[in-house]
Amino acid sequence: MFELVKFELYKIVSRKFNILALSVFILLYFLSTSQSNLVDIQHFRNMHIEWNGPLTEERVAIARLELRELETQREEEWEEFKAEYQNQSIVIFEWDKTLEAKHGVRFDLLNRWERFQNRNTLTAGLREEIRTAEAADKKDFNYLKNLTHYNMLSDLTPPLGDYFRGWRDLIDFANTFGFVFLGALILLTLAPVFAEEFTVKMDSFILSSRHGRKKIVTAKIAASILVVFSYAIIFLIMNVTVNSMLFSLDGSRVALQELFKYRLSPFNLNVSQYFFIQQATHIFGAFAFSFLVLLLSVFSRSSLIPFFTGGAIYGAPFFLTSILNIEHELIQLIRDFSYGQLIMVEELFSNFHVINVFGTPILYMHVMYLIFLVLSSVTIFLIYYSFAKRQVM
Amino acid sequence: MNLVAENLGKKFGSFHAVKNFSFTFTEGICGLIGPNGSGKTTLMRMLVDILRPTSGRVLFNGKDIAILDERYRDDLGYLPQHFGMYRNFSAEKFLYYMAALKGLSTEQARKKTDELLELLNLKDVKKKQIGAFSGGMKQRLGIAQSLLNNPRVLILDEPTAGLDPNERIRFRNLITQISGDRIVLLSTHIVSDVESTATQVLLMKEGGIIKSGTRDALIKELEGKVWLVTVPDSALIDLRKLYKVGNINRKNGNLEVKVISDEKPFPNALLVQPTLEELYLSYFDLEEVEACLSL
Repeated sequence: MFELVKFELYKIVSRKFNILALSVFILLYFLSTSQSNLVDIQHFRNMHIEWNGPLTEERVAIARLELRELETQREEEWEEFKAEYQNQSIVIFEWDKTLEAKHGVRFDLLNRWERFQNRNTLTAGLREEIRTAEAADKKDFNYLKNLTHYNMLSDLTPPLGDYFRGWRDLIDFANTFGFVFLGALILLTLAPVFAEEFTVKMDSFILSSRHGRKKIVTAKIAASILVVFSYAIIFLIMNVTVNSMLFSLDGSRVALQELFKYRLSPFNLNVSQYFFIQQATHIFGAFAFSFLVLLLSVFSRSSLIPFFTGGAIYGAPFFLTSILNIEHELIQLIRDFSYGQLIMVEELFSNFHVINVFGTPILYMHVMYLIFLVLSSVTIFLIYYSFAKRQVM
Repeated sequence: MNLVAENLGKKFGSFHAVKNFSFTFTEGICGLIGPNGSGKTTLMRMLVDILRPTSGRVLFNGKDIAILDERYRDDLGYLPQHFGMYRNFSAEKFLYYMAALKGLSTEQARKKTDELLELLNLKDVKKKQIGAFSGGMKQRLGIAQSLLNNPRVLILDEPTAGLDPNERIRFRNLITQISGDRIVLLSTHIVSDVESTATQVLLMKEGGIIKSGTRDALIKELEGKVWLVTVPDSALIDLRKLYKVGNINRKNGNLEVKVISDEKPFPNALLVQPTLEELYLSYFDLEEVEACLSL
């Protein structure tokens, strides 16, 4: 078996186009990150250090006061600047970098505090709804949903003032570059895995050989998963290296809710814990999508068919909702339960989202894990079944 | 050991590629000959379990090959008529890959690969990429892969296509040498390949067997019916209208023609020893025969 896996790996890796595509994606990522203004970021980070630790009302009051003073100072400087250059048609006002960073830090902290307050308001509202339902003895799905939401929010930790820019970008990778790069590489790399055997006319040799119907499938799946896992690890290493070098990985204890995109998340996780779960989910999603592409490849005599069909299944829900802005309930539902949604991970954790399963609220992410676990098992079974029944006409 | 085709049939839509084919293959070489579209390739695909029959079944030593599954394929060597190979693989790597597919250990694979590369005259090019191979070299590599697992059932569909005369002789000798305790089924357009190697001959037409038997017995049936006549060029058209005409040679400005006839066709006709080609000719139309003999 090991020998077969080695050969299948060789077949995948020796396709120059796969290596080329991977290199192009890595280059694109480096080009995009090189746009960051590193001097400003480092300045911002240094200014943040004094605010590390729990945010309290007293510290927030100080931040608010200092922010107001800084804004007043900027306003005065702006007025002076205007008076000085009033006769010139175009001049650019640039504030002192240190003051700019100081202002940014306080502004950021106050936003985080405000989001924390909003969460408290939401929690209080939920508590009230739960009490009302209990008083009326109305313990329906809505009650259970609110109770789950309330319990989850109650467990959350208060915010910290720590700097965490590195973690923010690290976490953002999966639903931006990760979604596009990994999806495209899976399509490019795996679409030919079975289809090429028919295109090259190796099918008669393979299907008439002893292991040409079962072990070959295991070998192809194992090799495909190894390659996809390697892609994910390459991107992970690239992402961690770049972000730790550019922004540092300070602030690993910061709660997930302090990231703007996750401000409504009910999960009691800090950014580093979430990053670990996110990567595992991202890779799980990539595997699930890989199985789909392999299944499409078994049914095809040309690599183009699984490539385009798989591409449509992967990208269409997002293209229709995010690019064409079609707000149809069914399309939204398809998007919610799509491979892309699982690979992007974000929406599984960014909100409180439950599914009504026979009156019981089940967390959306648990439903997604279950669906794709079942779907992947069925897909793998179909790959084996279809290839074992394959005929040469 | 035997391989039994039991009422085997295959339909593609309304077209019967193979119908009610029953035959028992035993040790030795069985030559399968028939014109294009007679169902040879379809039959072979069913025998190697890569095409499901519409009706009937194939039994290997009394057991259905569909049930034997990989236990049957472990005993099988197959060279398809049309095949391709990975262009970026070397000959050696390709055979290692096929050996892994056939369940050979690494050590067995190395030993068998070296042996077959030598036997099929591919040793010098074993590191060369298959993309740079000629048709004949690919054919030899195809033959090599079919022998990797020492198969007890060897099914070869047009194995000599693309081979030069030397390679064909080498191939015939190889097949004859290894056929002692194996079932070898050889389908070919080249009747002389069957004549020089096969102990049994099957003639196929329109998906069924029209004649079968040992090569010598079948040829014996034609004894006293093959004549050599010498005629001028102008007489050939009339001759073709009256008789089945075989090989034609030019000699001293006239044509020397082999004719199949129950009776002496001309006073100067000479009785000659029949060959498989005349047997073939006696069962198929001239166009079909010419298509075969021209190869």
